[in-house]
Amino acid sequence: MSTRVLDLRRTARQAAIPLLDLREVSAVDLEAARTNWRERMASEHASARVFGALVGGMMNAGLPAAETSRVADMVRQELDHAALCAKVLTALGAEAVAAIVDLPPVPAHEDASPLEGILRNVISVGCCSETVAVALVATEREQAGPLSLRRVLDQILRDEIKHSRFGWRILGRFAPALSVAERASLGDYLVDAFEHQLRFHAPFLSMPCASEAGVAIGAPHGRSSWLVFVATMETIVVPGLERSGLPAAEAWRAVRRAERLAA
Amino acid sequence: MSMTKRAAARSTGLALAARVATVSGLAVAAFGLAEARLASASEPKVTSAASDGRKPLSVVTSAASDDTKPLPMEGWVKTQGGCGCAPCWGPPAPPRKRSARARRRARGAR
Repeated sequence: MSTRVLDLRRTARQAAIPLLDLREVSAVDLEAARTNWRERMASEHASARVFGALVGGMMNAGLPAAETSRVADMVRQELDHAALCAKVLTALGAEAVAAIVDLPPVPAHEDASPLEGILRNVISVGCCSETVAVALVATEREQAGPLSLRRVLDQILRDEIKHSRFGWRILGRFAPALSVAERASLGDYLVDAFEHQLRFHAPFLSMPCASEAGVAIGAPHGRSSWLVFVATMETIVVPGLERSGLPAAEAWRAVRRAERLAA
Repeated sequence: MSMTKRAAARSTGLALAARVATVSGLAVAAFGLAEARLASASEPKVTSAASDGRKPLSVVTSAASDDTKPLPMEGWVKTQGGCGCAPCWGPPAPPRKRSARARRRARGAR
């Protein structure tokens, strides 16, 4: 596994956010906030490649050029988010440098038709990940303290909303064109997609729970974030996928059965 | 029913996500369920003592005060594990589709 370094110190100095007043924040919470924003910086940067990979799959599936063009814009938006996170990190008194480890490839799903293949990725990225992101960012925005931080979260939230809407729009428009076999296959994939979401968000459970002053500058409250994640999946994502004619409730039950079987 | 500041923030976040995910209102209706669950789940409520000003609000909403009750799907993570990375807002690469056989084998191995 190779380690790459993402250095956005220079970017962070352009239109920099003034240093935040951190007198009411404990040292532990400050360090947790810095860690969180550093990881966000790396994660947003790395996510650009995920949208980049969607472009080719969309072309291959013959999706509308206007939608493909929007996804190309999303690549840039993710890179912009990384720059915003770098500015916050710098305003918290830390250097905007992070390690980027392990960039798994975005699957092309050669075992599926081009339409089913791209819908697998759109469901995972737009309908699942980005919908959860909307709920998480909006929750954090509500608790953010400094005005400069709320402005950053507003900007990121605006884009996450676009990314989530894209997923639901594409699914709503193209799911009806799926064959019975493709629909069943996509239903099987949902089990993998849901388990992937659970694994990806699982570290929330071992994250610290910051004080109100810490959360106000972006320190994590892991248990609260986990509650948001599970509620988003169970009450927004699964019903939304069902509405598109996919057996999402059965897939979620299958995931939960695994929990009971292992207990 | 009063909620802590954190619970109220979660409700706002979920409401927005529900609006984004649908225009038909289905998910918004489902959100009502989420709100009810969240309001009752593992979050200390603002007590009368706190809300009438005898204690500062931060006492009942303070960090880690809700760290003892089990959370939904926590058992799944304990048995199945996590990816070990930091969950952030940027979407990770989607998973590949496992074969039915691989899925069964994975279940059996746990």
